[in-house]
Amino acid sequence: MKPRLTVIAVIIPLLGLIALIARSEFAVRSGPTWLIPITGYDPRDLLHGRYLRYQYRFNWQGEDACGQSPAALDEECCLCFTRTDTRGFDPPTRELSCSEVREQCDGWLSSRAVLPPLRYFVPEDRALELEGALGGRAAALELTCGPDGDPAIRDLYLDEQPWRDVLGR
Amino acid sequence: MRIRSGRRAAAVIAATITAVSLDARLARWVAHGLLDAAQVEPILEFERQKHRPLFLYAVAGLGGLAIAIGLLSIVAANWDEIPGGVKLGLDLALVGGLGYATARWHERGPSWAFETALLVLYGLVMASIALIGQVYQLGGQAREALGAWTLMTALLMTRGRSTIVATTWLLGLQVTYAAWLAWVADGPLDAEALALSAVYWAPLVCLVVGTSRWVARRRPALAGVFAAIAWAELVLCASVGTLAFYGDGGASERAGLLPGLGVSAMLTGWLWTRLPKTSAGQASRWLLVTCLALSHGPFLLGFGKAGVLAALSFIGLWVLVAFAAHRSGDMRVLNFATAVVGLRVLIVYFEVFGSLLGTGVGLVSGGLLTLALVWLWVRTRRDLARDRDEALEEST
Repeated sequence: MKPRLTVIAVIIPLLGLIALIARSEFAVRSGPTWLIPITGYDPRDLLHGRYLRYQYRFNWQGEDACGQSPAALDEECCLCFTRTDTRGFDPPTRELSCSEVREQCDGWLSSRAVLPPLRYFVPEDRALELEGALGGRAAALELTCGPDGDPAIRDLYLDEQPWRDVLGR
Repeated sequence: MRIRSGRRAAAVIAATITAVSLDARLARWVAHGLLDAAQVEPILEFERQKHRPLFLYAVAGLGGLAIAIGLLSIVAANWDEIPGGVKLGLDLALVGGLGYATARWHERGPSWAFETALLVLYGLVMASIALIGQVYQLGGQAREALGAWTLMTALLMTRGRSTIVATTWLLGLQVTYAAWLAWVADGPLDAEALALSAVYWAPLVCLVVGTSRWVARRRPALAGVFAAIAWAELVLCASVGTLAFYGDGGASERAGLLPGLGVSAMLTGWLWTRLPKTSAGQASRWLLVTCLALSHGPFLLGFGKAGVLAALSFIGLWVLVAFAAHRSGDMRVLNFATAVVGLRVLIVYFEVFGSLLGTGVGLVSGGLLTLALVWLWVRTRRDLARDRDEALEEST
């Protein structure tokens, strides 16, 4: 029996979890927020419980300089956002080579990271309510563009308001 | 009060019976000159240390597993009343507290509490990863969560000494491996044939671990579980492989299997040299090679619609399993293998139904084969029982 090894063995998962939280927290705080419209529906997930399955509805504008067409996202390209208002709501979007986005764009995401299926996890007891609300209201996700081009999701919006403000807490 | 004293009395009686039984046997062996008095004390000490309440470990382990699964379910409910930050803070406190208790139980015992805490911590880490994914809406793939879980808990689970911890860990490892194999098959690599052939690597690596003397000395339960599950999976792969005689794989798929087969062949060759040089070890060697051949051969050769070959190879494989079980004196596996062969023969009856001549020949040959099998089985059982009795007599 080596108690010191056991101490290390129980510390590793704790440090690993702290690292995962720190990485996610850093991504969420790493830049200005954007509000991207989505459409979706609601199946079940065995691992995480209830979630909304959605896809982004980008406001395609401008000339794509990468990939074939906006309808078929190219995994090798990036999405370039142009900020037109302070909230970053429904920004004009075009595909661009990932090597150029840092200089040319106000915000950018990797195309690979926004390919469906995408999931937004919701509380078990609010899932049906949200499913109904998504049918009748315009939905959008508030996010920041993480340093590696992955979106760091902050909140779900309905009619441009946080969903908890719309449906009640 | 009366119940408690009754339980205590029963425990004392059980311990006394065990001790008396061992003492009496040792005294008889000393009287016959098989042991001397100096050898008796270390044996008694070894038996005292070896004695573990298996039922307690099993029940406590099941309790630990239930808690771990319950934690996953609670996280999945995604209760909205508690803010995400508070949930994460509580979770980290729980992981830290349980980690502290685990380390303490490892040092001071009881060991059943340590083993149970390992299981709960194992599940709690998975639940925590799911919670982080939920709070930050990471929406990541299950394979990534499983990979992180496996990496974080690998050293932790090697600390366990019970069968239930080893079994749970192996299941977790294999689920993670399967999730990543599915990604290799359908993801950007699109290497379906490589993923298919890599399925076979998992039981082979388990068998390498299970047959390692170094592991067996330090973690006998882990080695036993890994070896047993590895053999079961190798035979399962070979059994499924025989079904490929019915199909006809494409040439491109066959070429894709070759790199995976190369790795499996090397591992099999290495295992061949490591298995014990006893009659049981020799039978295991042949079973190992047969499993490799049947898990890959039917896919590579692509005969197509070779039903007879499928049936014969399946029966041959399970006869070899029965033979290996006979050589190692494992009656349960021998009985099971015999039943599987009988079942496959029954399926052959239905496969050969067609013309009157075909049905007749099939039924007669199948019936003869079944009777031969029953005769062999009865003889083997009798031989094994006789060997066991002789061994018992010799030892007393």
